[in-house]
Amino acid sequence: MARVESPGRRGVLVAGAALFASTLDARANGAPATAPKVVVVGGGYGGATAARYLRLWSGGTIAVTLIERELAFVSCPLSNLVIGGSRQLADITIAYDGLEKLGVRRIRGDAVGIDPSARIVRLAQGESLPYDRLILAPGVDFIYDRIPGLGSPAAQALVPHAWKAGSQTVALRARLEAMRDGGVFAMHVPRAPYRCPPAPYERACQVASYFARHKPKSKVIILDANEEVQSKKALFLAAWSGRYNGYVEYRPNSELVDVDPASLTIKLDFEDVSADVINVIPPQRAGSIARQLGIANANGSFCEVDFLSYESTAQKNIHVLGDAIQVAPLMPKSGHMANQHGKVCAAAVVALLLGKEINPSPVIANACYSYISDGEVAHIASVHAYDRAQRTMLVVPGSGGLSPAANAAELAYAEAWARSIWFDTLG
Amino acid sequence: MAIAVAAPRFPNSLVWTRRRSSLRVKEFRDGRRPSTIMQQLANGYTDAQIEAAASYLAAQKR
Repeated sequence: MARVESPGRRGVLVAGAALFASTLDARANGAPATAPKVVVVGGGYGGATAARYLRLWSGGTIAVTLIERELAFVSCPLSNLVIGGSRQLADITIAYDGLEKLGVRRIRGDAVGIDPSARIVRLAQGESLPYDRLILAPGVDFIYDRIPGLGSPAAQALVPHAWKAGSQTVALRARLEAMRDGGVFAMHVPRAPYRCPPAPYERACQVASYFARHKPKSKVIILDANEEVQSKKALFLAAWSGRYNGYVEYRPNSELVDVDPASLTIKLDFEDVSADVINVIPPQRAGSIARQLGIANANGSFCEVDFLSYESTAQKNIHVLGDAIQVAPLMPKSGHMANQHGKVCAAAVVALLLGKEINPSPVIANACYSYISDGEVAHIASVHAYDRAQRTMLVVPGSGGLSPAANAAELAYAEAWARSIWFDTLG
Repeated sequence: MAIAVAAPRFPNSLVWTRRRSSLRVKEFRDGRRPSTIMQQLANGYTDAQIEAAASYLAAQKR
């Protein structure tokens, strides 16, 4: 494994949602040839969790194949710390061998086509995989056709999004390191819904923290298409007017018109903003494999699901998880939520394939820590229960809340959250 | 496998009995035990849900 973790230091997290990892000893590759087959496309928080819990909760009796194009899992949560400089990419990179030890067959590649009537997934390298149930966890794709100046891959390479953790994260960090003191970092935040509501503002804090320490004449400008900060608003505003006073400028209602990658200019409705380093987080929709299949039936952007099973409302036997779904009210697109989708879906798919009852009243939770600096964090939490009348997930009245202020006391909990959910997702 | 706490003061629920886990979560929920995030999460669960989660955890092999 790429990360360092001593055995016996597995964290635990929250009550109720069975986030805790079990250590059921499902035998690797123990499923017979006649076993029910599940194919999972995408090994992020949602897909990896589903693959793992399908093996655990079926006692190894369901054959699970995970298709993932990357070699290893890289966590988006905590990736802003790589941009701020306090972590390396290796710290948030985890191998998939924990899943393979549980008997998940992992194929490194791209799923390029699905035949829902024949129940077959085709891979770019030519193989075809039959399935009884298919789980799509493709994450988000960026809508570059709304940004004409970033139409080509060459142009996109000049303006990192760093909104999928990995080489993009490292590229943005390198630009900040190369920037002169006295420079300006300008970032654009797309209209909601986008992946991880508080993350743009956490990123601004991390860059400001780096500037305060190493480039004190420099400045962060946040250009937000939204009318206000989308999560933890008071906490972020307090950081920008307090700890980062003079370093961060926040401009709401900044609708993006275009980007000029040559001059590093973000073009808005009424002004152009040029900077030394720009970071444009493009608008987002469900990954292309879901859209091509015609199951992105919410505005052509995201996939409506049955929240009891995460089965698509448009296609039988196909389930969708994570950032690709049309979320329920107040449900964030977050790694923690995707993990929870994965477990509810895995339990339902096990029940469907083994002839048991589906849980009629799932309850899931979200916890998210934002690093205001290297030494202070703030959390937001919520609990969501299935509402039978409205057939959606609703926040349980009286549940959830925020840290009253960024603080150092919760730093250990933020670290434990990450270790716990990585273990829960990947083993 | 023994499962220990991941950080100081983090509850070590996986090596607890069903009764101890559920009591601890209820203490968080009712504010009898101070917390940062645990009360906010525990507020989302009924007694029966907390006990079901505690039963699941206690049943896991270690």
